Amino acid sequence: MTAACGLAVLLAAAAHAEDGKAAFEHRRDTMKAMGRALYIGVGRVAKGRAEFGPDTVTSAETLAKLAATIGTLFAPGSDAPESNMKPAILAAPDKVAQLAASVNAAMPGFVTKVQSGDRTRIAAAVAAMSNACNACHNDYRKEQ
Amino acid sequence: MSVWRALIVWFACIGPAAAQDAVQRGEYLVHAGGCVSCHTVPGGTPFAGGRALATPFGTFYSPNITPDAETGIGRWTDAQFLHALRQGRRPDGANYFPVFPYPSFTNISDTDALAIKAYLFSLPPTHQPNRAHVVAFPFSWRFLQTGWRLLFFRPGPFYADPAHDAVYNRGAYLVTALAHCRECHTPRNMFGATKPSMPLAGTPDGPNGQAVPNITPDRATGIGEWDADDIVTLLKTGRTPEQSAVKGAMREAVQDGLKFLTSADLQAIATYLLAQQPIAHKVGG
Repeated sequence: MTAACGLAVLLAAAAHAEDGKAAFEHRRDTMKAMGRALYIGVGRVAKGRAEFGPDTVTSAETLAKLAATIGTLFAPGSDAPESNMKPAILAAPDKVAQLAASVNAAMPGFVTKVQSGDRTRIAAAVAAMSNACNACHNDYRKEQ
Repeated sequence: MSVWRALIVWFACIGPAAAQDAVQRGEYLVHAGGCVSCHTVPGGTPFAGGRALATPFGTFYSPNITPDAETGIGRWTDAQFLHALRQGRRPDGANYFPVFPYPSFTNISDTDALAIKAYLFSLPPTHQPNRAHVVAFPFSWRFLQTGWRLLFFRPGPFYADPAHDAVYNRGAYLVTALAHCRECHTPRNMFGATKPSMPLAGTPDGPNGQAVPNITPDRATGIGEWDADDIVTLLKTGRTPEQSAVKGAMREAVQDGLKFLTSADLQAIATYLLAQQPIAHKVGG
């Protein structure tokens, strides 16, 4: 009986660790995709390194879609050792919700400015969005 | 007589100047090779060795490569130094384990290798005995490396590809020889040899168990969305175009060496990388 209980606990722990790893990998991939959309897809146009086009708008819309999921990315157990995330974020769900809401509140305006095709407006939008992202990164991303 | 005097004066001047040039060039090449990262314990004396390198086969400890006669390489001749880098063998004839990236260093030119030696020999000798590797049987048997070499080692030198220009070939030399990028960025087989079908495609089992990203120009899983400036910026600053920082061994490679390379060499690396065959291979990192 004791052995069976021990095994059940071990299996539950293993399943939890597996879930945590999957959650970490999903967050890592999502963050990378958001960085790609913001800094490459739109950011290059803002810097004059690429021409504005339909792909620029698609990147902005991709960012908006992914950003809508930010609040779901910080699952318990997802603080893998290789993660860039400080575990403290898991103890601050209200702060995460507030920061994610702030990013998402800015998103419609961001997409509209990108759709304008005006490089000055796009540059300002990228800078503002970058600041919104960094509001969380500054507190909860490990020193890099 | 005056001609002989002039010649003697000329040799007296040009000899030390040439040696100094080799030392400076060697320092640059050592940066490109990232030698200090593996041959130095964090916070320790540069190049004095002792750094633990964890692998699936055990933990290796890098040797002292300062010119100390007893514990370093102070007694090595030029030929012995070349033999170590180009053939992966110690002066006593024993095989190195491929944790020392001689399968890449075999492509370093003799001129560059001797400049590296000149730089290392210009450093103060540090007396620090080498630490024995902790490697499981049977991988600890060095003579078994003879079989490994037969199967997997392809001796240099590097040959430029005439189908490409000088910039590409400079990048090829830096990536495949000096900077030995393939050693970390290529997945390995069960014998610890890099898989020739997946060069630079990344691996979940890189140095110290860390994932190493795919740096082939595959758009979904590699660096296909990046341009040459992105790569140059990363190698100079450690920041990716997605505005995250490289970690682990790559952070050391940038901080200890790659950031000191000329823009022309970094552009050459970028040119070579972006010209490679894209390989779809998703890894973390």
